Amino acid sequence: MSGVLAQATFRPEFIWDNRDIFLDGVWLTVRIALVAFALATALGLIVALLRMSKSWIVGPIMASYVNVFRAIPLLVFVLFVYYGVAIHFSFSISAIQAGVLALTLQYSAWLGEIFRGGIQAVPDGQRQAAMSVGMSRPQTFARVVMPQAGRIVTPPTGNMFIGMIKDSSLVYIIGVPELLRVSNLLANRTFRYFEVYLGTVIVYLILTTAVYFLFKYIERRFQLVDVLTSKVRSPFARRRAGQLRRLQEAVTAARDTESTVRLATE
Amino acid sequence: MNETPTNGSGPQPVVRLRDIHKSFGSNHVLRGIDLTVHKGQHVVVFGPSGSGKSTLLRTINLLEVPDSGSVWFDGKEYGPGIDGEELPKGKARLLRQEIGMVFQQFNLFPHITALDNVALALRRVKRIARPEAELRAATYLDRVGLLDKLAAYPGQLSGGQQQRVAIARSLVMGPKVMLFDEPTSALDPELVGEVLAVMRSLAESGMTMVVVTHEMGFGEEVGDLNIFMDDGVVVEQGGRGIYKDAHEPRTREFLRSIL
Repeated sequence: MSGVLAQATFRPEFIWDNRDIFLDGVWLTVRIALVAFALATALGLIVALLRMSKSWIVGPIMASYVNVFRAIPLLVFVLFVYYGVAIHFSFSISAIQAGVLALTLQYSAWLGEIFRGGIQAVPDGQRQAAMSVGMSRPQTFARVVMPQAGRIVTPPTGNMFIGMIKDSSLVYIIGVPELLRVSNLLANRTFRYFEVYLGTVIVYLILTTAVYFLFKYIERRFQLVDVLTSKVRSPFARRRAGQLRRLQEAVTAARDTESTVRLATE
Repeated sequence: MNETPTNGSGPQPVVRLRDIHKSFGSNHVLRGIDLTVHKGQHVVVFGPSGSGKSTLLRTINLLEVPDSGSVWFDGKEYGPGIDGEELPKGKARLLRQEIGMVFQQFNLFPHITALDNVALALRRVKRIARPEAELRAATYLDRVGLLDKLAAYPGQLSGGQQQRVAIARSLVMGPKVMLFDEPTSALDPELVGEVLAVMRSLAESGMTMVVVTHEMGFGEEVGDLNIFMDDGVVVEQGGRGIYKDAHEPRTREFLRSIL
């Protein structure tokens, strides 16, 4: 049993024939996701830091910020920001800007919580050790806390990036001609629903898979490898290993001439 | 070198704590501690857990700021001071650059190599250029017997090796005093010896040290001033004889319980 409008034959080449339309949509989807994610990451870091503030007023305000933006369904929020606020109060912002704003605000709340968790997961002993050698608070944060928190938050942040690409489709509702919107228009015009949405699905899959591999690569870069003993031989690692060997030789040579006190024998 | 003037001609004070009080909530951890550490002196602090000895140590480099009382170091006064007094205040960060600290849990930075752990503060705090900082850092790793491990990350080192890197990380800054907060308590028994050996050599080289430890043997060996703390106060202090011949019943009871 097929519907009245259903197509009798599946024509996969239809997707390829309309590639320019899909590509226009993808291009906008990618730009929206990248811009909104970059803004949300910056804002999320600020949210996380303010949320940990010792002030009696700042912390609770940021906690409410997080709760509010996490609590509203994104589709509702997109409508609210564009039709509810921007149009009603005659703010001159485009549908794309409204969509990016809505995505940024919601994702900054989620990312803020992820970043706070990552920062708080760094043991307090790390800060104490950094301060005990005279490092300032900003230095301690930049050199000791951030790099460790960064490793912790990378996998969940990758998930959020994938989520951002998918959620960016919701701005179709305010008329932004991103991938889903152009797909809808194409399907309504041609009645080739299966081909169109199959194409849409495949394109989202390609985008999210690319992000998955990007974050896998980043995580692999975080692996801590002893360049002197490991078999990993990138040009950088080889150069560094050479530097360190020369350093060892220099210290060993100086050992015999100088009368520095050795505290251990090995 | 080991003979430090505790009562001889002109002992030179390096650190002086005056009437230190510290509470965490309703828990009065330090109840009026006075302590003077002289140049080259080795002070060993022992006592039951919760006695305030770690807090006392952390007060010396102001990781804990006392509620009242003052920390005097190298000519400057720190902390809130004693009621009604106005003292010239020093910056905690500058004090910490000249006081080394070794932690029970090592607290090495796990994301950077042993070499970078030792070189980090040279570069960022003392602003020494990288080649020079790395040469100095490697020299100090050599001093603690870990030159071959300079490219290793803390996670690839044993507990004893990590603690020796931590000692090098503090020493490389050229501290006037070294603080040790139960440096061997988190180590497997067979790794305690290598860390104590480094500390012993350091003591012999004339470094001023304050050591909180449960290793009474170490205190008997290098402790010029041995302090028994309980319940936030100094119960008894004395020379090396204190471990065999304590006067206070509480000290004797504690020593009996751990030996």
